[in-house]
Amino acid sequence: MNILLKTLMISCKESTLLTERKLSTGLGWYTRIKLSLHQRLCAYCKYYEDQSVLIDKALQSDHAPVIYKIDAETKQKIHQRIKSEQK
Amino acid sequence: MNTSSKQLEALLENHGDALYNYARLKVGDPDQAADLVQDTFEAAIKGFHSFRGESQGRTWLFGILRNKIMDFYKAKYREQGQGRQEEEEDLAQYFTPEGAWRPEAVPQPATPHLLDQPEFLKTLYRCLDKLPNLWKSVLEGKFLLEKETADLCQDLDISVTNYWQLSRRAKLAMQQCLQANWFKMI
Repeated sequence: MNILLKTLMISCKESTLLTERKLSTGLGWYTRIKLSLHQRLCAYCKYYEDQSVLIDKALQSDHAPVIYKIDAETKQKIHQRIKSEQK
Repeated sequence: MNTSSKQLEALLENHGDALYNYARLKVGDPDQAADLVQDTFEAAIKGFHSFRGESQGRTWLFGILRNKIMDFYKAKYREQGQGRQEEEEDLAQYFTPEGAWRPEAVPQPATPHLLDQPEFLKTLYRCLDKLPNLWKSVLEGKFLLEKETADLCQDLDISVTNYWQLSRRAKLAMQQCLQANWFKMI
């Protein structure tokens, strides 16, 4: 039992790397167990994942804060380009 | 005016500001952002036949823009010729040699509804702006759904393991920046 537990135990450093793997390509069953076991015992590593997911979501276009507007000149250039294309 | 021109005009009118805003937040520089939006419409004009209203116009344009932003980061990255990150050394500020969190780097729980708060998002984009281009491209790569991680890695000339490491490195830097500029303030 002790040997089994030892092989399942990972450090916080390892758990954060597994978290990024999970969020990009997904994990196999063994690494998934290792990560979820670690996160059950370590709230910080769960917070890490929550924040990581939050950052990914926040960087999507739906969440971009509206600060800047396109300038008239650029808009005009694109407008001209669209016009020149229609023939 | 023919139909496609009319549709493109409408797309420019309805989404021009949003596209520019997004590009500007991601690349910082106003001229670069303007160029990226122009390039996006250039590609949209050329590829309009492939857009059959299957996706929303906005989604379609943002898809093109994101690819342009990725290319921009990659070009910048190559131009600056940044060396490989010294992963181990670099992580020492977050983890002890045993791999436990350092007390000052411990992640904080996120408060609910953060994504509805414009001020939080502004802080987050300011944090993004400070990251090196390679890290930005790794974070940006998350949204290129059609692109497999393997393709992205090939483009960036890094291994998949390296990609996960860079994701973590970028996330740690973002979290640290948010911690200092947001979570500690409230």
